[in-house]
Amino acid sequence: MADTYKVLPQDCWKLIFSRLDILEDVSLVCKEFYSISNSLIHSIELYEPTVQALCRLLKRFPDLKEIDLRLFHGDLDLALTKIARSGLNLEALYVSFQSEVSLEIVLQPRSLRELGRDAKIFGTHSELSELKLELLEARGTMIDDEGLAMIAKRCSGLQYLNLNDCSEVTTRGVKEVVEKCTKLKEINLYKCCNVGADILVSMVCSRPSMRRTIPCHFVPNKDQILHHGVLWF
Amino acid sequence: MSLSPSTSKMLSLKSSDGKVLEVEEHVAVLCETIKSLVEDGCADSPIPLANVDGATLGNVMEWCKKHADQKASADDLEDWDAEFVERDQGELYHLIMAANYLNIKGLLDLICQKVADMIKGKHPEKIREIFNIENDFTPEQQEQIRKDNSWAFE
Repeated sequence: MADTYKVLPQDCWKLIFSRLDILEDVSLVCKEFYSISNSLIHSIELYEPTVQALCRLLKRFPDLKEIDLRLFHGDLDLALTKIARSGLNLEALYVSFQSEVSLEIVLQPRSLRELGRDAKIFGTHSELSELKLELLEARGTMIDDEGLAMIAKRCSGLQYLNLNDCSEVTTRGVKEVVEKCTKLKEINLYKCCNVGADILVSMVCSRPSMRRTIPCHFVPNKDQILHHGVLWF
Repeated sequence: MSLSPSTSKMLSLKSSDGKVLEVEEHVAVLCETIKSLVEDGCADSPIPLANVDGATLGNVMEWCKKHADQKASADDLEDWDAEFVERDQGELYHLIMAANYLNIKGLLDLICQKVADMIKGKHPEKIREIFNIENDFTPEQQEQIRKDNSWAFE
């Protein structure tokens, strides 16, 4: 009687597996279970896999939506290159986190800037020219206007951008992103000390999709912003 | 019977092995598949259900009847469901297939949860044994997945 389970439709196995907290064991049962359980993984956190392991993981999980590299200790440049080339339809990429450990901060910002600048990722591979990214968490990084310009150009579907504490970014770079990223809903500019306060109004007026902005320090004309239906704090 | 004759219109359902079951319409329409037939006016009896055998159809309708009962409380249903799923694997398998075919979300969720509970916390070898599944991995592939799992699941 039990052998009938072999012909259970994949959709049913999916329903069953989606009720499990851990898919590690079912992934080892057989090839079918491996592939069904892989399709249920939507987010991973990476610490320090080798490049080969990373590539296998990116290939293994076809429905990956979120990759968290905030605790990543390996070669972040290479990891980002591989992710950009994976063709995955990512919704969020967490690249950096605020840490007391300066060593990590030094590594991460450089990498993030290169995600924007690096011709290897964006330029020479035309099929990769558009990075499908909706959320970019760049908090506390050294990303600059040039990096922002590349992101604006290559990630036009961007909806959420966190530039909290990015002191290299200026008004020019933010304007570029706001102009090119037509779907932008949220932007966090808190502690962006080189972004002029006046940008908020022009940003809100020129980008109707905007729903929430967190300004650098103060708001020049509160009424004007509220008039456009945008929340701020 | 507390239902008035007007609300207890009967439907005939015919299983794959030719058994005919008379079921009240308000019970049978818990199956979305039957509901759309009724709504489209295509429910000429008996409705042939080619993918469900008589015994399974009986079990499915027993569940539908309980869940169509307005008087049953949530606690009551929960206890009843817990008892309902105490079956051998073969029966559970047929119930999943029937719930999937007849499109009864509540029943499908219930049985899938039961099967998930059977898998939970078990080693791959044990899961293969329960469902009589053949290991089609080479030892090398298995070792590779084990290694990768440590990246992906920890």
